[in-house]
Amino acid sequence: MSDGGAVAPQEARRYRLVLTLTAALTMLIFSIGHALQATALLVYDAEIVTHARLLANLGVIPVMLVATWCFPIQRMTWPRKIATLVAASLVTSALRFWLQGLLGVPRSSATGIVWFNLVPVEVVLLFSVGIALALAEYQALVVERGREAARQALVAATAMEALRTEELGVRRRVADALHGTVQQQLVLLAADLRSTARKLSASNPQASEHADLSRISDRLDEIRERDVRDLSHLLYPTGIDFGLAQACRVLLSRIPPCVEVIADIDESVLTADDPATGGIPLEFRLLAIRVVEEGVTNAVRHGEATELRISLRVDDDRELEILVEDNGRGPAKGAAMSGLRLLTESVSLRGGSLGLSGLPSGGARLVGRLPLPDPEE
Amino acid sequence: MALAVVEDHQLFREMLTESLNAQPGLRVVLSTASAQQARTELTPGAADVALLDVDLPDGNGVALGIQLRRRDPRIRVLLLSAHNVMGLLLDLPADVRRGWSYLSKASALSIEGLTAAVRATAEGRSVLDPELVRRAVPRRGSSLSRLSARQLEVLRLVATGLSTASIAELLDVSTRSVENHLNAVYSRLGIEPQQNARVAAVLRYLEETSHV
Repeated sequence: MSDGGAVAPQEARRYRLVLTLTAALTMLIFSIGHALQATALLVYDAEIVTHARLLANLGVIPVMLVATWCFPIQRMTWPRKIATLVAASLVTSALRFWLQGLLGVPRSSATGIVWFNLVPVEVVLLFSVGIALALAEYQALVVERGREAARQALVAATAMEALRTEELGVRRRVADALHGTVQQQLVLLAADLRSTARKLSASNPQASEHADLSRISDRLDEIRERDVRDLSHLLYPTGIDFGLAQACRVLLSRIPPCVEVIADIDESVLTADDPATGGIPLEFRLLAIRVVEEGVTNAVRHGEATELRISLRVDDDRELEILVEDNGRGPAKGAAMSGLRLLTESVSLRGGSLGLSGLPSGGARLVGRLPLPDPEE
Repeated sequence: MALAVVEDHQLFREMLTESLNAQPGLRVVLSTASAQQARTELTPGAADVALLDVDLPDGNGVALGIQLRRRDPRIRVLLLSAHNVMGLLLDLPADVRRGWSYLSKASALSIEGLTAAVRATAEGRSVLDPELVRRAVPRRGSSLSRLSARQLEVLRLVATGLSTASIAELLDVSTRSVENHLNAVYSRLGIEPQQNARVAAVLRYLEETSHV
């Protein structure tokens, strides 16, 4: 960038290289071209020596290249860049004129011929160095843009990470509050109502209102036990802080008793969970539990299954395998898949896979694979 | 009987300590919110029963319990939690599986109930929170579903930490009768009738019930 700011050494080197090489190449091409062209114009000067002319052209190229390599052109402001290169080209062209004389290229005294020698050369030099400058500036811009993009990506990723951590923290706090404070309030409220109902029935046995109060307190108990608890589990799976195996057991214990559950939580999961061997990072545990939850919910709620088979194991490559099979109606096509699609994306993002298929016996089979990070990370 | 209380809710810890100290024969030798402190001060023989909150600011009550039991196999652990994570008892390492109990802080447990649970734990029985036991329903297709109503009832009472004698008194039958029921339970659940049979049966109850 031409704002005079600091530039990394290897980038400065690259700039100089592009500038110098491009200038060298274009000047070389023009030199040869010009020498040939001058020769073709034999009609003006009968004693032109082609080789000497070419030599003079080539001889001054290094002069120009000294300017492009040694001057800190990249860091200059645009007016200075242009001024420097114009000055360099003027010096070069003057030197060429002098060198031509030295090499014995005959010089006409006619002013027209002299100008014919100098002006086009000057234009050619400016043109060459102009192309070189444009190219060098462009590649510097491309590099800067790339760096900027990488910077933005890092900022975005850091912000996402911070957001995720914040979200988990909020979920846990809300789940705790629901499970603790709110539940307690409801317990006390229900107890209060029941005691009022008892007093009412004792003092006025004919009144039917105490039955209403009992009904209300029962409803409060129901809300507390089902809705509030379910909500807190949804926000933050109970037991997840103790490990994947434990969160899984809590989840399984909440499956209604009319569903037969055969669970196989392999030793390898307990070993992976163990904080002493590194443990499974929270976000992987949460993702794995969501997979199990998805399989179980689909089986019980949508598939009306009466048998569930759940298996968790970690293989030797530290890949977690989750299997949920049921004897329900099998996978449904259409809208029910949107939750699964989101989950599949989350799993894929972490290098895993998730697949739902139908069983020949009629039920569904959900297979999730999630590579776990190494303990050192 | 020497007790240790490791609990990070200050008011709850203080009330618990005070109530336990007021009971005949019970003495709280350590009351702290820190797992680290418990680890340092509970040397082998220092306490008979450790009441540990599962969620501690500087650690995990289960991990602490495992360490304590490994250092001193005679110490018993009573886990306390606001959430229903009784399933933690199912994944304990084999060498320390005996001698654990679990009470829920959310249950309406009286001081008498707590004291009874502490004493039962000290005597080697596995006590599960009575409220959670009551709400647990055997799962369809499980070995529990093969038990008769009476056998299930006996198993439930065993799970809440009652001794054979207490169960006999409660059900108004002889202790012999209770023992017969228990043996039938072991046989139907496929548990060998030996020293750890009770604990195994209680853990099976935990595993094969639903807590909706």
